[in-house]
Amino acid sequence: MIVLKTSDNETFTVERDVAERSVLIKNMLDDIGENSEQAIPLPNVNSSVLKKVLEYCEHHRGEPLPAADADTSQDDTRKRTTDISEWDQKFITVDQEMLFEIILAANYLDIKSLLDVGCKTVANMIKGKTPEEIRKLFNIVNDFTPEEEAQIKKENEWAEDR
Amino acid sequence: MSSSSSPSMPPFHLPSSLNPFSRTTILSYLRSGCTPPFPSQTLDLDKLRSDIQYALNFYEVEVRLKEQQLLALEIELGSLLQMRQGLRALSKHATGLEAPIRKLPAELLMKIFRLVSSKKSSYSLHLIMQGDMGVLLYSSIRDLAQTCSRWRQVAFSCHDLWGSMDINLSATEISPKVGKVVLQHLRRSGNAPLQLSIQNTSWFDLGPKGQEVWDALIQESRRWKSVKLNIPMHVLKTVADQFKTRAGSQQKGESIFCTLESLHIENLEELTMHHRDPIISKILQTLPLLRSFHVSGGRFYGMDACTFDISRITRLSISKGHYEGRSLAQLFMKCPALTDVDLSGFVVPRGQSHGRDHLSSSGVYVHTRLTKLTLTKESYFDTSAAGLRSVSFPNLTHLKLVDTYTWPRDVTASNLSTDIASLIVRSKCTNLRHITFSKFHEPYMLRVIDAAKESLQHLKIIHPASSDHILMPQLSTLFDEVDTSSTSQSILAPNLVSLEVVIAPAVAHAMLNISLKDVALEICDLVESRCKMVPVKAKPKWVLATPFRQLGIHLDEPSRPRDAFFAAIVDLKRHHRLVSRDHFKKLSDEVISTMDDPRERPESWNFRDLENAGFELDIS
Repeated sequence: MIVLKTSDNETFTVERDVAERSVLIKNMLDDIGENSEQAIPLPNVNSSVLKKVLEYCEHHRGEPLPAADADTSQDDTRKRTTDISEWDQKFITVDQEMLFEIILAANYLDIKSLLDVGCKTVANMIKGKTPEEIRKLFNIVNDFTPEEEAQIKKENEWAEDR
Repeated sequence: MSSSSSPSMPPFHLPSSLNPFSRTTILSYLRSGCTPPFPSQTLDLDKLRSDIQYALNFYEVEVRLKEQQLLALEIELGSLLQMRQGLRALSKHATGLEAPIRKLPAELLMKIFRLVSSKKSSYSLHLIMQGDMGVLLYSSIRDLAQTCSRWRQVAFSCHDLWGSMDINLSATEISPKVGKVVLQHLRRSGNAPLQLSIQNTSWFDLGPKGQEVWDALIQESRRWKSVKLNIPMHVLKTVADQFKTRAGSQQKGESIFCTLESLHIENLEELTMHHRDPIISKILQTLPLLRSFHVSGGRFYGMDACTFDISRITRLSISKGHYEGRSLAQLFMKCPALTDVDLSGFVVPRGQSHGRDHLSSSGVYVHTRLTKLTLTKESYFDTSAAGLRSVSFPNLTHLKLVDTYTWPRDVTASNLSTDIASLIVRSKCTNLRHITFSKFHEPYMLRVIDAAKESLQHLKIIHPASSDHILMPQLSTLFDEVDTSSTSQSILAPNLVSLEVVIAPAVAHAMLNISLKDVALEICDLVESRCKMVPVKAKPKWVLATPFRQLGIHLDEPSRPRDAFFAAIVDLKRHHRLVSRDHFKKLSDEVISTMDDPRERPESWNFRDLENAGFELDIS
């Protein structure tokens, strides 16, 4: 069993194969050796997020890990679909705050499949929306300078002569 | 009663020097419009006038004072409104800074942008024609770049996304400003490789705007990595000359399409009708890095006899037409690196004999690299020794056979399936795990499956021809065959892991006329026959002892049959009929007899147990 310590000082005891879904933790374990009983500190992940991440790892335990170089080619990244399995879809149906925390945690812990699920979810939310709708959805402020606004207006001129 | 003052004389209170009676009298004269008749009354009228003037002066002063106060208040209100607006903007910015999405670093935003751009197609910009005159322009990366300044910066740094365009050049003539959008995308793509799909739906030569865009694209020809051309053949001929001319104008040995890896040319039909010029050869000669080559729509010939090097090509597709050459063996000999081939016909022209150089003693060329083969019966497949009989693919892993429901279906499909079956046997394909049939008739499928029975693990049947046998009944005989102790030769695909069936709308509608429960029962029979469960002490208490663990039934389009079909399946699941009582009894007796402790004998296993043991039934 492995002990993980979160940023808010909570500890989680998990089975090794579950924890090793995270390449970061796997590498740490490889470095510190088999018999260490020290808790692995995860200063960038709080307990509520780690709980969700471990739920994902538990469900996907035993599945083959994606190859380390699977994401190196931009072409490959682009060819990937944005389909998400049913369980993963249910799992990732959380509020935006938690969604982005999970993505950041997956990125930090190096759990590629979870990072993909999170990013695909955000991509699906964005797809087909206008810039204004995207701003509204994610509470993004339109902070363009007047020069940028003028440039964007010019970019959209084509629509006037349709 | 309430006061009813005259509308022409608003009520007001004057400091009056008149006595109230005289005042009332004078006022009544004024209201009636008559002049007071007596001199004393005229005097009273003058006094009243003076009173009014006095009051008027007083109120003028009051009004001016109030106006000044109002002005001051208006100024104060304006300033307050401005302050409120500023604070609201500040608050919005502050909230925006707190927005969860802002926590994502640039590299994760880039990843998301790439996923947004690739959701439905591999191109970020689509410039397409709608009907005869409409133009539709959609660019996901452009929309993302117009969201906020940070996203704009990140989007601008994704050069590859700007260089991925699906362009109809005819649209630039209808709406000239869209050409500027394409050029802007091209500029923003920096030095990234270009992935292009270029169409010209107009039969005529390019207009000035289309030509401007085309010239700009050609100017960046060194960055073309992948291109799909769908343009009229006479325009393609001009393009081919341009390929050749511009390539010739470069330094010796250097092509201007030096990074092009994938070339897809559609609409070849006109080539065979009007031109005998080897256009494709002209183009191919200028592409030193070409790996993937796809032509479609007509007769394509002479590739096996070309004098230039095409040995690096790993993917070849000749679809919606056919290939003409001396023999398939010659073609594969010319392209030893091929791993993936898609052919829709092969014809040996009259008078051309096939070469037999480099063939094995049996007259067969053994191509060891090919792993994926797709054959579509669009046209004719030569059944002579120059056709499929001239090649062997021992490392084939994926095979896809497509029929087209066109005449002469029986003879050609039958010959094709016979040739493929003998190809599989001859090649000794021990890794042929994936076979897909599309629109194939059952007897021909069985012939091929039988040839690949030992290695076949994943079978996909797209658009089975009729609703009578959505699933091939022969697949439901695994245990029956075992039980009757017949030889293993008769078992159809004993190592099958997954079966996926995609049902066409026409067949799905025909299913309304039969009992959908019959189809669902076919599913039961198949699952029961293919799946064997054995008990374990740990949870889940049953494990699958047979390889079959995935069955997918998909209807191509949302329709009434889909709903009815779902209802039938749900009904079956609800009543635990998916594993039948008889079959369960047979299996459980078999299992119970092998168990040590009779107390651990399970009551039954049903569909839920199957799912827990890892079996997937996917109906969508």
